Amino acid sequence: MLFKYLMAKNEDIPPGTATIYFGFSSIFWFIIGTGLGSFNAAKLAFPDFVTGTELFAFGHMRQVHVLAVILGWISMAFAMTMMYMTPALGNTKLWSEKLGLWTAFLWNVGLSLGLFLLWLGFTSGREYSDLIWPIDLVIMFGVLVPLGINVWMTIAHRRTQGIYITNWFFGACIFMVWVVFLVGQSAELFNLTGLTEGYLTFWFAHNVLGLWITPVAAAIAYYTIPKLTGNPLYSHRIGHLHFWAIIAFYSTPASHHLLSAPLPEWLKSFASVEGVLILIPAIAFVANILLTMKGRWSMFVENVEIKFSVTGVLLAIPLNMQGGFQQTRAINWYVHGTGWIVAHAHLALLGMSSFLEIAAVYFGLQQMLRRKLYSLALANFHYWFVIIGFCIYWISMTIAGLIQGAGKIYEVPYIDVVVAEHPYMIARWIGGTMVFTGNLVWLYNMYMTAVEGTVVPKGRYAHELAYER
Amino acid sequence: MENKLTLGNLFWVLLIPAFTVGMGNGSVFGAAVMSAIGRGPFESWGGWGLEAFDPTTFSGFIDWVMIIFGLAFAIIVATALKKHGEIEMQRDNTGW
Repeated sequence: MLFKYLMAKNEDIPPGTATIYFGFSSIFWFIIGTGLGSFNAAKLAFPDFVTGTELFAFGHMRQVHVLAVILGWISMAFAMTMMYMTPALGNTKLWSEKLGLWTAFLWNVGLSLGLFLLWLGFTSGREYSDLIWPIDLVIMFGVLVPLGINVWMTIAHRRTQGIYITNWFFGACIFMVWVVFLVGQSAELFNLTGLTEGYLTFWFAHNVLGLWITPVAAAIAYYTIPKLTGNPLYSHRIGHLHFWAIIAFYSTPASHHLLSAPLPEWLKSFASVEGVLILIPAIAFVANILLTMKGRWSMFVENVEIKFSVTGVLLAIPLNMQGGFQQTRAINWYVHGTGWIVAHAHLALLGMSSFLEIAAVYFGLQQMLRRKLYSLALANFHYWFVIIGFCIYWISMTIAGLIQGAGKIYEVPYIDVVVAEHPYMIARWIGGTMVFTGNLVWLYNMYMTAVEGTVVPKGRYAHELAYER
Repeated sequence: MENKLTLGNLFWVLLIPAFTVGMGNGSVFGAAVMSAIGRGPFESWGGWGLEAFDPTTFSGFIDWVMIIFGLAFAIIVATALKKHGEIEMQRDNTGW
């Protein structure tokens, strides 16, 4: 179906095709990403698991997992939501369905190639910006540029007077990720080494999280929660506060990631203070969404998309409490370089962000396919496997991190710390595998929805029917 | 219409997502206190009236801090949702 439409004229492509392609691609990459995560966790829990082959060593596999999740699952789910939310909020059609399809196609090809090369060992050697520069160019000009053009042109051709907060975020975040990506990858171009390379690496890592992953996830919630509950957003103005506070406080020098590096002290302090101020947009976002739920809280136990969304919003609370304070010198002293940080990263990407995207992918696929969800029971199974798996993962890694922190500060022999952590590594593997299993069920459920789901009549929403007994 | 937000309906939501959120907040509080006060030698820090923090068994201050925060947040969410359920039931029955 996809290849047929790639060569078709734009007007011959049914609306929603790009959404559907991006939606299924994102679920596919979520499975790849969590599968690799589960594999890597098994290697940490059971050191004798798959040894002797260099390609399956942790050092070859770890960054493939990270980038499959960030560039495959999360970013493609973002593109998927942009493909249907931006036109819906502008009361118009997507500017170019064909460009959307080509973006999805190039994205899948470029990412597959990039991750394959990364797996073989072709790497820039910088965490989070590991891909080599030719692949960076594909991502920049084959993915991010066409995505931006499509979203901005759709906003420009809107038939509404204002721009709803979700589209504000979408439009701005794509622009910001262009800048972040170009500057972040330039270390390779300018042959930066040592401290400057390390600093630029974490400037990129910080801002790709702060100006792309978390704000776009929040923008999605600004759409899904009002749409599903039927309530208007509690306050558009608080949404703007959230937006501008993100711009002001999150785009920090990022040096709070490198507090023990020989960077200028004022730079670290400045970044640290702004890091605490991130609580402002965080509280604005959480309060705005939870107040939007007013009068519709029963949907929290009845509606699977709301269940995912609200859980994601709730997880933003500990995420920002941790994030705001763990980067202060006092706490960073204790938790830096431990599993705590790994737990926190998963709280951001697998907890807050992924839960919001999963809800939007469920909703968007049903809407665009015009099909009722195949199985609510499987969707609930998915929810519980992902949340329980995530909790096991997050709690075990937080505890493991605190053990490492204590071991580090009190100079406990390293091997004792390794032994003490073993049970938590096994728990981590179990949690990650549960998430992976839940996602397999999700793909099956969505495939069956596309193939066998009851057709939704005109004028109705798929999610309304999904819960009719 | 009945109150859909009963403790029975909410049980798993409270036990897992809500409890985790509280534990997350507790982790920050616990780590902050440990960092602020626990800079003494290993033997002397375990929190008030507790054994010294032992990395190999994870006994000390933060383990129960996280559990208490988790419990507290679950109670807060339970109370809030129960109240919401009553209001939503009232609205559905009276139509306001």
